[in-house]
Amino acid sequence: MTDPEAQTDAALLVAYANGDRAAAQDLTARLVPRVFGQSFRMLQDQAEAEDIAQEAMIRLWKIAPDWEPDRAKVSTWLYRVVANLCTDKLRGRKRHTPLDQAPDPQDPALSAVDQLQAGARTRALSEALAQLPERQAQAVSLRHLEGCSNPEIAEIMDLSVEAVESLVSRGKRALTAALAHRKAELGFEE
Amino acid sequence: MSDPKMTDLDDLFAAGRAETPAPSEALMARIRADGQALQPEAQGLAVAARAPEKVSFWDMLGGWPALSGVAAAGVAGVWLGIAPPAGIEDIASDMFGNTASVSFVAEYDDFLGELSDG
Repeated sequence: MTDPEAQTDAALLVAYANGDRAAAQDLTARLVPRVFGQSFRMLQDQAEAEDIAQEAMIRLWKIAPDWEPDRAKVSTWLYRVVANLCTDKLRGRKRHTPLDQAPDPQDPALSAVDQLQAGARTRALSEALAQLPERQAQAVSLRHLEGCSNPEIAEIMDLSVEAVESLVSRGKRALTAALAHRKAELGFEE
Repeated sequence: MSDPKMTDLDDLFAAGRAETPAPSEALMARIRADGQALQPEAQGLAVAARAPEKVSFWDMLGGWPALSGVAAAGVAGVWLGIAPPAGIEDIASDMFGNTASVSFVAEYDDFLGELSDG
């Protein structure tokens, strides 16, 4: 492990497990923006993203005494936990909310057109991710929303790089198909 | 030449990346509170905070295992005083000059003499 950020995360987690009260605050400040960001980008829902972020961090607090720094980076572990929790949440949405009935976000600061092209697009993307098989949704979101490289995703998802490439490729085709009938609504030319 | 369908998708991804708010302070506070509530106790602090246990005089000396050595040494000293091995008195004379043997139990000395004579 040569990444200084990763070393700091791991060192703070060890300090936390040893009872260092400041370590909980430092870890919260360092990790929660990224954890919440990943949740929000997948779910496009503030309340749900907050629940996921809190749950992911609770799992980190609980695993801290047994953490093995040589097995994984803290950031990699959190990417995996958040991706799993988010796809669970998306699967619940898939059961309860058909894609066509998903509500669009309302932001009074934006014009109607802007809302269509910003809020509706992001919400539509999240709802379309919910239609994908779990692993495809995770691979696509890690690649295109989090900006992870394929080798990083392979480590996060415990897959080969080739398997990740295949998942991302199939996931993007499935997303395109899921969004095809909403192109006009989302501001794309037919 | 890029696929126009994928370009649309890339626009959606770009929108998804752009619209991320910062976590609220309320969320940060909840997570900090979880962290403190679930934090293991500091090992050093836990030991220091524990009430001192009652320590007996014998425990301070090392308990019965340590005292058994002291008792054995005492018994050996008494035995050497009663029946010193041959040569001990000569060594004592060489080291400390003249020595005098004092018998506290004359009958016992006779009994030991009979034992050594066979």
